[in-house]
Amino acid sequence: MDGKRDRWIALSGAIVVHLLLFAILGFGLNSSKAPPVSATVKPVIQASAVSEEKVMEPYRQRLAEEEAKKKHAAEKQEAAEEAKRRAKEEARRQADQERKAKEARRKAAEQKRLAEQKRKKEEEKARLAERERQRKIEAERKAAEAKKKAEAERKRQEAELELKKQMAAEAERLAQEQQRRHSLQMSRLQNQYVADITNKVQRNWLRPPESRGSYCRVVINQIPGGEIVGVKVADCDGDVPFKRSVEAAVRKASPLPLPPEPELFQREIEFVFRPAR
Amino acid sequence: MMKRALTGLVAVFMLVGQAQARLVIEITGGKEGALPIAVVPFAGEAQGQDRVAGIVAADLARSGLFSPIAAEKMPAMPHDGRAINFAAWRKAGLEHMVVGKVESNGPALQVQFQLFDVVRGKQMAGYSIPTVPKRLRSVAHQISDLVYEKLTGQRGAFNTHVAYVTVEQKEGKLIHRLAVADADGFNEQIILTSKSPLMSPAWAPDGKRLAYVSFEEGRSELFVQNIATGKRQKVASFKGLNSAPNWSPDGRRLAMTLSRDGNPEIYLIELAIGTLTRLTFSRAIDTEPDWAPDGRSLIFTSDRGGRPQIYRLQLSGYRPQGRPRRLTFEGDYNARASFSPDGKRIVFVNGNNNRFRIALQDLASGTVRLLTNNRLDESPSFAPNGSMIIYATDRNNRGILEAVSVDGRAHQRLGTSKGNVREPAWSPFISQ
Repeated sequence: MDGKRDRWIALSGAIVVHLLLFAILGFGLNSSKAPPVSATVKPVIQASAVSEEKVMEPYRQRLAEEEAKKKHAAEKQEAAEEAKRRAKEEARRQADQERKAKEARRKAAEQKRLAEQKRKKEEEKARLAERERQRKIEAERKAAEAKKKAEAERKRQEAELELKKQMAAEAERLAQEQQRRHSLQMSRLQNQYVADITNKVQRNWLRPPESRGSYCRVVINQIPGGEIVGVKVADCDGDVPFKRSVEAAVRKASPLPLPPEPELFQREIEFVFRPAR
Repeated sequence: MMKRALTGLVAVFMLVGQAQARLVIEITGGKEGALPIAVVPFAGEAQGQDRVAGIVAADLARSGLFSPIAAEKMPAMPHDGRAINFAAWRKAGLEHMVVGKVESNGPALQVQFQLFDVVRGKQMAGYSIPTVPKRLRSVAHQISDLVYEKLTGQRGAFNTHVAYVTVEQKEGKLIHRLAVADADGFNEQIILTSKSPLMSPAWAPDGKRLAYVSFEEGRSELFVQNIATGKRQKVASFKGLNSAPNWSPDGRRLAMTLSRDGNPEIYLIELAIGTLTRLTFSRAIDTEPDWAPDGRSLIFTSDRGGRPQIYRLQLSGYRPQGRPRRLTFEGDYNARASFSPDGKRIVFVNGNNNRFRIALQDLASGTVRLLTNNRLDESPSFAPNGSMIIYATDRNNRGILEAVSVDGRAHQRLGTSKGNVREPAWSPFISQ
C-alpha cells in the first residue's frame, strides 16, 4: 500500500513539478499577469437530476456550481499550497540532500583526512618501527660484534695466560732442576766442608787417657773468617780433663776451614765429641 | 748404594739448609794422650838449688795426664805472663804453660808462678808463695798440685809423702830404716834405724803418725810413732805374730794380724784403751787388713780357699757382720789389697805363674786390670787423690819404688835411694 501511495505521490509530484515548470515557463514567456489556468480544469463531478431535485435543480445547480467553484478554488489553493509545499519540500529535500551530500562530502573528507592521518600515523609508526628494527638490528649487530670481540679477547687472554703458565711451569721446572743440581752440588761441598772441619778439630783434639765413654756437646760461634768467637760446652758427661780437651780442641782448630761456597758458612756449629772405641 | 749415599748427602744438606737447624759435627777421633804443657824454667833460681820448674814438670809427667815439653823445645823463656807470645806457643802445639820466678828476700824466698791457657791466652792461676830454700821442693810440689787441680778438677797429691822401709848391707851387717820422703821419692828423711827388720809402715789418717812392725825385741811388735817428734809407743806385743797394722778412718783403731790365739787372725785394737776385738775366725791365715774409707768394712788376705785371695768383711759397730766374702778370682795369688780413696776399687798384688804384678779391680763390675808388667811387684798403695799407685818392685835383686797412674799408662821410678826399698805407703793429704 505504501508503495502505491509512494508511487502516487511521486506521480503527483511529477505533475506538480511539470506544472510548476510550465507555469514558470509560461509566466516567463507571457507575462506575470496571466490568469490562473482554468480551462484545463474539468468538472470533477457530473450531476444527475431527480424530481425534487429537479425543483431544486437550479439552486442545486448554482450551489453545485458554487461548490464546484469553491471546491475548485480550494483545490486550486490546495494544489498551490501543495505545489508550494512540494516545492518547499523539494527545496528542503534538495537542501537536505545537499546538506547530506555536503555532510557526506565533509564526512568523506573527514574520513579521508582521518584515513590520511591514520595512514600517516601508520606510516610514521611503521617508519619508527623500521627505525627501531634497524636500531635493534644495529644494536644486535654491535652486541654480537662486541661479544665476538670480547670472546676473541678472552681467547687471546686465555692463550696468553696459558702460555705464561707454561712458561712459568718451564721456568719452575728449570729452577727446580737447577735447585736440585745446586743442592746436590752444595751437599757435596757441604760434606767437604764438614769433613774439613772434622779433620781440623780431630787433629787438634788431644783427648785424655781413659776418655772412652765420655761425651761432650760443644757449641761454637764463628765469624766469616772462620775465627771462633764463642765456645760453649752445652752438656758433658766426662771429667774435667775431657771437657777441657774438647774445649781446647775447638779453640785450637780456630780459624775453622772456610766453606767451599760462602753460602755454606754456618755461624753456629755444634760438635759432639764421642771418643770411638 | 750410590743413590742412597746421595740421598743421605741431600738429607744432610736439607738439615743444614734450614735456617734454624744447626750444623752438627760428630768428632770421634782425636789423639789420645797426655796434655802437652810447658813449665818454663823459673827465673832467679840459684845454681845448685832444686829447680822448681823441673820438679813441677816431673810431677805432672808422673801423673800420666801431662806431657811437659823439654826446655830446648820451648820457643821462648818468659818468666812473666806479660812476656808471653801465645801464638808462638800455640804453634808449638801447647795448650798450657807455667811461668814463674824465685826471688830472694834476705834468707827467705818468694816463689811466684802463673798458669796460662795458651789456646785462649788467659791466665788460669797465679800465686806468690813465700818460703825458705830448704822448703823449695815442697813449694814446687804445691805448684804442681795447684796446676793439676786447675787442669783436672782433681786435688793434686804431689805435695804428699811416702813412707817405706829400706835395707842396706853395711860392713856385713843389715841396717833397716824406716823413711819418709816426698811423693816423688826425693827429700828422704829417716825416722827410725834398726838392726832388726822393720815392716809394714801405715799412715795414721792425720798424716802425722806411722804404725809399723819392728823386730827390734827379737819378735814382731807394733809401734805407733810421731814422725815430727820421733816419739813412739808400742801398741801390740802379743804372743806370736803382731803384724800388718792399718788405721781405721777415724784414727782411733788399728786393724792388725795377731796369732795370739794360735792362728793368724784379724783383730782390732782400740788405741786409747787397748781393747782387742777379733774379727776373723778361720783355720787359715787371715792377714793384711785394710779399711774401707767409710770404716764399715775391711778387706784382707786369706788362704782359706787354699790359695791367698782377697776377702771382704762387713763391720757393724766394729764387729764382724756375716761371713767374709771373696772378692778376687783371677790368678792363683791375690794379696796385700788396699782400697782406693773413693772406696770403689781395690789394688792388690796379683800372682800368676810366678809373676807378681799390681792389679786394679773395680768392685762394682769385678773387672780386673793389670797395671804393671814386672816380675815381682809388691805393696801397692793409692795416692790420696786416687790418681796414682805407688808400689815396690825388684830391679836386679834390689827393691825400688815405682808409681803408676791408675790407667796403667804412666810408670815412673821414684827417688834416688840407693838401698833396697820395700813396702811403700802413700800418705794422706797434708793439711796446710
